[in-house]
Formats: sequence, C-alpha cells, structure tokens
Amino acid sequence: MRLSQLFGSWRRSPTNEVSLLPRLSLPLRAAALLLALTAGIVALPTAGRADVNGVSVSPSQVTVGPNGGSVSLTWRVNRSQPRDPFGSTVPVPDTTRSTEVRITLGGQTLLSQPRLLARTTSIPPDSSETLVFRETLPLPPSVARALAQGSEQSALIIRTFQDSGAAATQTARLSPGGGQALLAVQRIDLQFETGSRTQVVALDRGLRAVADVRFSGSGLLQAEWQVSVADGLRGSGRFRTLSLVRRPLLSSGTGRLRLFSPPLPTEAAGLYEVALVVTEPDSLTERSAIRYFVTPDSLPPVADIDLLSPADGSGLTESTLFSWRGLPNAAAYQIEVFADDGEPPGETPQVPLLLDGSPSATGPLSGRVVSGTETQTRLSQLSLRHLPLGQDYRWRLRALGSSGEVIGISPFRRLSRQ
Amino acid sequence: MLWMFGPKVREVSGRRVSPVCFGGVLVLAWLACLPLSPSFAFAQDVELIHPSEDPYRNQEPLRLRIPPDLPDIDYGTLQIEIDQIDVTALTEVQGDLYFVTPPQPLTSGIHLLSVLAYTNDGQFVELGSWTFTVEALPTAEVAFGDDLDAEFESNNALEVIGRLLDGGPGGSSDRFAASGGGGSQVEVYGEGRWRFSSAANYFLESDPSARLTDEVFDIGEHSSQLLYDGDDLRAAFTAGNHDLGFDNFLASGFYRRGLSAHGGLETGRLSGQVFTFGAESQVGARDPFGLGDRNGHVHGGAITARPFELIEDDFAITGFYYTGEEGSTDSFGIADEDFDQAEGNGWALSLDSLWMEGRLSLNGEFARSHFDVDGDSGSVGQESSNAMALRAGYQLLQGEILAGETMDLRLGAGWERVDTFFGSVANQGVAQDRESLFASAELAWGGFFGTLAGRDETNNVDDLSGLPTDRLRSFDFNGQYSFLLDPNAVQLREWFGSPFATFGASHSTLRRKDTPNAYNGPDSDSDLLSWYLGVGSSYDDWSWQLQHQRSSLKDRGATDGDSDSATTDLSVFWSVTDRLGVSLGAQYSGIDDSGGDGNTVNGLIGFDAEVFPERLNLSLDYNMNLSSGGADLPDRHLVNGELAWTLRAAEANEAGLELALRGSFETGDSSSDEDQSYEAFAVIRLLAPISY
Repeated sequence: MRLSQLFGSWRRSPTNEVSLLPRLSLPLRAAALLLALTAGIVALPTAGRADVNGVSVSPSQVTVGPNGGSVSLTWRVNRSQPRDPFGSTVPVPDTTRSTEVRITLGGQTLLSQPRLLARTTSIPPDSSETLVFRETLPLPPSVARALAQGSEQSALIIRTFQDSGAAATQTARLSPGGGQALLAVQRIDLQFETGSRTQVVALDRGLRAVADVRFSGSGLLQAEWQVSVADGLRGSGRFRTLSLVRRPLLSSGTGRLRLFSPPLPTEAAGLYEVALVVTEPDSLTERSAIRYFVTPDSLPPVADIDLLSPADGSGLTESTLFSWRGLPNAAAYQIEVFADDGEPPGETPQVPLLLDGSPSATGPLSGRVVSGTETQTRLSQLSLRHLPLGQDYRWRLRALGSSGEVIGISPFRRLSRQ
Repeated sequence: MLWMFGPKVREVSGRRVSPVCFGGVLVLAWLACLPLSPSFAFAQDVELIHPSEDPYRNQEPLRLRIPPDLPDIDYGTLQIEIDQIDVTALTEVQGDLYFVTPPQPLTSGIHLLSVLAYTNDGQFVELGSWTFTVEALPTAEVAFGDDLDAEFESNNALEVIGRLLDGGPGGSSDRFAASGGGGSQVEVYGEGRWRFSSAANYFLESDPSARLTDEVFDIGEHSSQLLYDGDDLRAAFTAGNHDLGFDNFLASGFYRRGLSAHGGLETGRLSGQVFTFGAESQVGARDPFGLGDRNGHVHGGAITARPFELIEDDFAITGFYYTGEEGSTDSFGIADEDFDQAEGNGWALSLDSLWMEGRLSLNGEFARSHFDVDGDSGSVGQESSNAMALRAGYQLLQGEILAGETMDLRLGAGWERVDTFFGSVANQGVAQDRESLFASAELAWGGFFGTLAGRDETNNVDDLSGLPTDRLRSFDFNGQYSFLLDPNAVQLREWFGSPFATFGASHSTLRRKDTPNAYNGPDSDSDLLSWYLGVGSSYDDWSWQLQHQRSSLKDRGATDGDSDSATTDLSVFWSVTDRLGVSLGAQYSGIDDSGGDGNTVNGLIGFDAEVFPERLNLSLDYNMNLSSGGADLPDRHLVNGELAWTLRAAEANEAGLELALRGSFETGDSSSDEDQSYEAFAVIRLLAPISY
C-alpha cells in the first residue's frame, strides 16, 4: 500500500484510521502510526483550527427602561476554516460558541451571566461562513436601575465568540431609555372574558379570550391569535391562525394594552388551546396559552351579544335607541331593565332568567320583547312608567331560541332617568 | 331553570287587580306613575280567556278578547305586558282575539298580565290586568326541607380516541388517548336570605403533552360562594378562583385562587372585606384554596364607608391594604420575564363621590407601595413609592332631544401620577413611571356613539439623573353609527339588515422633553398616525363586517426606523338553512418597515352542517396562512374536520353516545412528503348532561 493511499484513506475518513490498521502488517502499522502522529501534530494547529474573524451585533445600541425588561440582539459571527495543508476539501466540523454575556458600566461588571450560544457547523477548508445567533436577553432591574440612576450614560453588553481557533469580541451599547426604546412585550396575561383561565363550554357557545399586555418602548406589535385543536396539542403542533394583530404602539416608557380575540372555535367537541403569539418583538421567551374543552350541546349554549347603543351611563327616554348585533337563529330578543344595585357594569347578575314568576328587587322592572329579526327598538312611554325618574338602572339583552331557550346574553349597561 | 319543566296553573285570578298588590317594586313603579293613573272604565270589556279554569301548559298562548270598538282608545298604542315586560310584538290578532305566546316557558310563581293603551286624547288607560300562578311539577322539585330549593346542572363529555392513520412529520405521541371535560354548578336557595352557589370545571387527558396539569384527571378552576342577605346585614364568603374585585393602583384584574369574606350593612353605610389569595394564577386540585407557599400569597382587606348621612349613597371612602409575595411556580396563562420573587405591601385610600344629582362624579385615589422587585435574594432593595389620581366626570347633556333624537354628552378629565418604581404583587401589569393629564368626551346621539380622548404623558417621574424624559401626546377618536331603518320596511331590512359603521383615528407624538448630560442614547422623535373604517350589517340569518385599518409610525430618533402597516379584515356568517351554516374570514396585512416589505394573508372558511337532523353532523374548517417579504414564514394550509354520528342523543339526565371521525391535513410551501402531514382518528364520545 502506498502512503498516498494510506493518507488518502485518512483524509477521506479521518475517524476510521484505526480500522485501517488491522489490515496492515505490524511494521507497517507502526510506521503508519508514526507518520499519522507526525502528520497530526503538524496539521492540528492549521487544518483543525477554525478562527472567528469578526462579530457584529444588531442593533448596536439598545435601551432599557428603569424597571428592566429585555432586549433582542442578533449576533453575526464570521468564522473561517484555514486551508488544509494536504489540499483536502472535506468539510470540517467545528463548534462556535459564546458561553456567557457580560454587562459592564464604567469598566465595572454589572452582570456576568452564563448564557450559552453555540452552533456546530461544517465548512470546507479555506472557506468562511457567517453564523447568526438571535437572543432575547432579560435585563434584571438591578442593571436597569444602575443605568437610570447612575452618572455613566451607557453600559456595554459584551459577548466573546470562539471556536477552536481565534476568538472575537463584540459589544452593544445599552442606554437607559423611555418611550424611544424599542418595543418590548414584558408580560401577557391571557384569560377568558370571565376572568377564568380554563373553560368548559357547550357547542357553538360564544367564547373569547382577552390578553392584558404590558409593554415598554414604542414600535409595531405583530401577533397572531392561534388555536390548537387536540391533535395539535398531542404532538402534531398543528394550529389555526384565527386572526392577525397589527398594533402600532407609542409610549412614554411603559404601557398597558387589552387585546380581544376573535370568537374562538366551538363548532366541534374536544380540547382546544388558545394563545396570543407575539412575532414582533420577540422579547418574551415564555408562551402564554389557556385551554378550553367543548362539549356537545346537550344543554343549551349561551352566546355573548354585542350591544351598540345606548352607551353605558346614558339617559333613558322614550327616544333612547336600543341596538345590538344580531345572533343567528334568534327567535326573539328581550330587553330587561333592572334597578341599579351598585355593581359595576358588565357583571353577571344574580337575577332570574326570564319572566320569573316572583317579581322582586332582583327581577326586571321593565323591558320589551321583539322579534328575532329586529336588532333595534325603543321602550314605549307605557314601559317607562315602571321606571321612576331620578333613579339609576341597569339593562341587558337576551336572545331566545325557537323553543324559548336562552341562546345569547349581553353584559349589563347602566341607564339613568333624570 | 328548575321550574321550567311542565308548569301548570294552580290558581287563576280572573278579576282585575291593581299592580299595587304586586310586590314592593311594583309599588314604586305604581307610585311613580300616579300622574298616569289607569282608568277602569273598560274593566268589563277586556277578557282573559286563557288561562282561566283550564290548566296552563308549557309556553302555550295566552288568549285575550279585546273588543275592537272600545270608545276613545288609540289601538295603535295597545301594549300587552307579562310581568311588566312589553310582549306586544309576540301578539297574534284574530278578530277580537289576541294570542300572546310567551317567548319562554313561564317559570313557577305568580305572573301578571296587563293590557294598556292610550286614549285618543293621550290619557293612559289600563284596560285590564290579571294574575295567575304557575307551579312546578312535583317531580321537578328538589327539597332540602321546606324552605330550601336547589338547582344542579352538569355538562360532561368523555372521548376515547384512536388514531387510524397518520403521515408526515410530527404526529400524536400515543395511538390511543382518552380526553374529556366537564363543568358542574349547583345553586341552593333558602328562605330568600341564603344563597349558595358552586361551580367547577375539570379535565381528563391521558396524553401527558396535552394535560392541563401533571395529573390525568384534574380540576381546572372552581369557585363557591355563600351569600346572606338579611334585613340589616349582607355577607358573602367566596372560596376558589375569583376576582379580588378591586380596580385601583394596588389591585386590578386580580383573578386568582383564594378565600375572601365580605360583609356590610344593608344600608350600604359600611362594608368590609378580608382576603387571602395565591399570588400566581393556578389550575388543578393541588392547593385548592391558593394557600400553599409555592404560589406565593396576597393577604389583605378593605373597608368602604359612606359616612355622611345627607349624601350617604354619593360619597364613599375606601381603604385598602395588602401584603404579598410572588410564588416560585409558573403562573398559568401568563408569560412573564421574572428574575426573582417580588414581594411587597401597600395601602390605598380612594374617595368616590357624586354631586349635582349624580351628574358630576369626583374620584380621588392615593396608593403607597413598599415593593421589592427581586425579593430578599436580589440586589435591589425595597422601594417606597406612590401612585395617585384625580378624576372628574360631568354629564353635560342627558336625555336632551336634538333633531328628534336623544343626546347624551359626558365629559371627563383627570390626572394620574405613578412613581417610577411603583409596583404591587396584586397588580403586576401596572404601567409605572408616568404622569398624565387626560380629558375625554362621550357623545351618544340617536344611532351615533363616539368618544374623543386626549392625553399628555411624561415619564421619569422620580427625576432620575441618567434617564431621559419623554413626552407623549395622543388624541383618539372612536365612533360607531347604527343606521335607523324603518322596522316596517321588511324588504329594505331583508336587503340591508341592520347596518352599522365603525370609524376612528388617532395621532400620537413622542418628543424628548429633557435629556441628561452626556446622554448618548437615541433621541425621541416619533409620530404615529392611524385610522380605521368599518361597515357591517346583520339580519336574521346572516351577518358581515368589513374593516380597514392603516397606521404610520415615523421614528426619527431610534434605530428601529419607520413602519407602515395596513390591515383589511372581512368576516361573513350565513346560516344558509337551518341545517347549514357557513362562515368566512379573510385578513390581509401589509407591513413596510426597516426589515423590508412583508405581507400576510390569513383565510378561514368554516362549514357547520347537520347532514341528517339530530343524527349526523359535519364540521369542516380550512385555514390558509400565506406570508412573504420581511414576514416570510412558511405558507400553511390546514384542514380540520369532524363527522359525528349521534347514536343516542343526550338530554338532561340521559346519557348520549356519539361516534366521530376526526382528522386534519396540513401542507406547506411544497408538495413534498416532508411538507405534508395528516392524521385521522376514530372517536367514541360519551355525554352525560345532568340537570336537577
């Protein structure tokens, strides 16, 4: 066997060199081992050692509010593999890593945190590549406060990237900021409209989720309301995008936003999960999701009715227009006016459902029933006689099905008779 | 309702009675209407035919005879009421017979039927009124002694799922799975003073990846409440998941698991509340009352007093105190960047008052917080900080008539200041570090309702030396208009339904107010302009809505640059027949920002069909999500469907059984096998609705 063949085999499959040896005689094995070791010693510092040539970071300057938050950084690492002394073009694997992130202020280290960014890639000798690492870096309140309260005006976020060869370091400047900071979502509190975080609802029941979003800075919020059905939760990961959210936000520092989901699917039984997935900015590493189970409609479902007028707190006269968004399959709508018991509008009342046989302080004082094709009406003067002047009232609307079942109900709104 | 099943008439009073005899509330209504005293001149003319001596059956029409020639009666104003609800629209007239079908089965108890009208000279006349009593069937009664009644309702479903076929990447982890969910609620009444209610939902899931908690079967959330409404005292005790019930700087939207007790005088002059909650949002049976250490705690109490007798209902002072610590567990349904467990305590004092017969409202609030954002283990110490607000509202116009339409106009203004490091364990989403002046106006006029609001806000409330101060000024307008169509123009209504329009615009500016010395961060110089316009309508079995929204953010100071976005949203629902409903949703979003152009189209189509009535149901949904440019994510097409065959229909207290075929198919950009996945399942579904 010629040496070129031996080294050819070595180069083609460097991990198999030991398996080649048994096929050689003992003296040749010793010679081959010696040559291999020699070649390895010569080659290691060159062919096996890749260098990090440079690192850039985007954005190069970030800001954080005085109460902390997070910043999103994209590190671009250029690395190269030196030319192989034997002319090989076989890609060589190597791992590029940065093991920790440091934040310094005025030369003093504020934070040194192990946060590994690493990627193993293979590139041919005498070539280079650029690796992209995206990270969302939480900034603890201690760092944010030191910046906001200090005389030094900016800190540095430092990362050093290294593979088997040379290393390179890059910094991003971190400044205290208010409204001009890049938009960051700090918290999403997801719940159903009732406030609960789990629901078991009947088929075709109206159901919505509400996200209470706390954010800092300014920018365009991009998100999706997503619903996963049961098989998606059990491994397939399939989800339905119910709607896109595009909301430009401007704040003086921090802000709070409530986002309502579109009606959630309840047309088929089973387990569902709803999530508000923020795609930009990607400052949250956790996912907020809540679950509901839809049962077949063996007991009547009740949908939510959107009221259009009158507004909460309006005066009530004969010309006050009651209007609402219609529900499919409604046979009748019933307006009910109650004495105001001081509860905030929107609260679910503890009152009998309809035409209860024992009018009392909790029953409706007045109201009107209209056909299911109507979506607006007024109370007559005869109906208003039940509602003395100078008092406050609450009203709601209920939709009834063809069998008299309640298929929809609105939140309460206040009225006054002055 | 328990009493809906099979009511019958126990007693019919055929004589006309005065509403004065019909309960305290009616007394008030009656007294208020004294100027419109009814005349009994027609007492012998109008007759209630049914119910009379015959038993009244479930939801059957009430029959009245109203002579067509009553002197001086304006028949156009004739109004028929059941229990003070105007049900004239449900009346069918055949000669002098009037048939009134209640929209819902009448519940047990006494009912009042009234016939009213105006005379031609505008005088109110009561043509007649009758009371009759409907009692429940004995079989529907659940007695806990002579004075207690109870209602129980439960809806439960259990699915056994077997995977029939699958392909492509991903897929369910188990070939067989069991999944279920249910919700139950019970209410118990007694002597008109006590009321107990309890509700819980629960989930069963064999697949660990889809479980709500670590358990195969577990409670989701639960809540129980005992209410007492006495002559002098009201009290309530609540256990389980519920809202703390406050909306102030220290506690807002705090829906957690815990215990609370509320008591107060019937007069409303004094009330108090004590509570203990877990600090984290939680589900499951573990730690059923939120008292465990892992979930942290929020303890406290509040007292509300209306101390001044002259204006006792219009002047309330509330004191609130809490102490709390965040837990060490994940909070269900909340995504948060937490470092350490915050802890703190605080008190708040608020004052609410109404003046000028309720037209003027004045509100003030002050909160003092001691808050350690990273707890004992962190390097940041406890901060003491304040938040305060003054708000005023004035009803400038109420019920004024302008151009034949009622007009209401309410004005509001206020000032808020929240210190830079203000925080509360019971209000973790509070927006800190802001001082705001704001004003608003709400106008309702006929079919129009609109709000106009302006705000001037600055940050760096604590005047920190290294922090720049920015000023945000914003103006918002939102409105909606419901077109008033003639209810009698049926053909017009069938075409146009009940149309409405929504519209709004906002403009905000962010400017640098104060820059620290040697500050080398970015400048603040941004403008945001956005507007939207929407139209829609609904009628009987269809509805639709179309909305377009545009926004432009010019960011001349920060590194993120400008961004423009446009979104168009269309949603349609059509109940084609009683057995087929179709829904359509389409959304287009275009974004132009520093990352380049990006477009996303999201489409949804849904069919919900009853193939064979009460036997075979089909549900089919398609979702398309396409994006390009800066928002370039893989295109997705997803089809979900279920075909469910009802072997035995479930009814109250009768179990049901369904077989279903369920599946989904998803494909991406290409037609390669790697880009397609599908699964199909056979489902046996057991249903158990219970109602007593």
